[in-house]
Amino acid sequence: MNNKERILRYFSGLMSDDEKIKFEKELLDSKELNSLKEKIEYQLNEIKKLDISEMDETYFSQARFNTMERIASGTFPKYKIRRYAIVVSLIITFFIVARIFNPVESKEISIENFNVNEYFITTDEYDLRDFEENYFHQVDDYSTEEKLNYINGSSVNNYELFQVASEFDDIVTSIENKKIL
Amino acid sequence: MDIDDKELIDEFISGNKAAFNKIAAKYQNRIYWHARKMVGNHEDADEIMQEVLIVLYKKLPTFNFSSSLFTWIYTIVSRRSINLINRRRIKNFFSISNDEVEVKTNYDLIKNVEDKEKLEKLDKILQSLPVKQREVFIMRNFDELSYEEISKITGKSIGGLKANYFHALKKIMEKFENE
Repeated sequence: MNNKERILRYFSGLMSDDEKIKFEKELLDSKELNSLKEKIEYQLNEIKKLDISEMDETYFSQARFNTMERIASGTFPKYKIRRYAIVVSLIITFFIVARIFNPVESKEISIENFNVNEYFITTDEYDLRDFEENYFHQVDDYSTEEKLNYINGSSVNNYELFQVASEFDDIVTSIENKKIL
Repeated sequence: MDIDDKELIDEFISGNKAAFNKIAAKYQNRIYWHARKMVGNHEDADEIMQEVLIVLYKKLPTFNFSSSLFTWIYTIVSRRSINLINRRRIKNFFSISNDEVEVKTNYDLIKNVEDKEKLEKLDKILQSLPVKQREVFIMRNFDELSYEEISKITGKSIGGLKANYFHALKKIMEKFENE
């Protein structure tokens, strides 16, 4: 470690008590070390002299007045508004990103996965009554596609329907047997 | 706790708004100049000073006297200054142009030409230091605080502060030598 660094360590208070005593003794003995210390001290004092720390008092009284006005008008520091804006933006962005990368699954029941028991467990009575009250024809009068559309609440691809029509007929029959429809 | 401070706070809490004005007048100069040296320009320092006074106004009734008012105020100023510097850094990072976000400098508030030059020089020196080193350098040399006081304000260890101060001194001395 060179002398300059030792002096800076001394000024910073980084020296241990022993080190400090030894260094102070060295300062007394070495003119070179002492003059370097004085040089650094001088430079530091020069920097301290740059501190004006004075300003027109009217500025400060005006600033106090402005502050009191801000308090009275409820104008809060801008950073708080920004902070909330950032949080809200992040939440919105999160939902958008989550929606893009993990879209909510369609509630439409696929024909392949259609489970009669499950469907009627989750369907409330209102829906059943609705069918009976609103459909005047006998259940048999409706095509399989129409029945499926009623259950799903949406239209079904005809091609898809024909492929599993026989399976669906079985399902409808089982529903009819249970006297639900 | 400074007796005057306690009396003023008690008066303010009991509804005397003029007491707050006295507290503000007492600490305003130090708040401004600490912020001014940290951020390096008048506009930001002015904003910080007003924000600190608003915080004081709002939080003084809940001040529990566990530390001195002076330490508490310095803690607020120190945090606000560092927050502002960090915000400015983020702005610069996201800035589209390559130029840094313009930092307004208004030396016109200081009438004396010599003082203006001094302040410009000081800004140049202080702004060349990293924030942590700058903070401890300002508190040691201009606010004349002990390491213990700085530690209470910043919440950092005394050893860490000494190390920061050492590096600040080293950088400044190197700068002097190169000029």
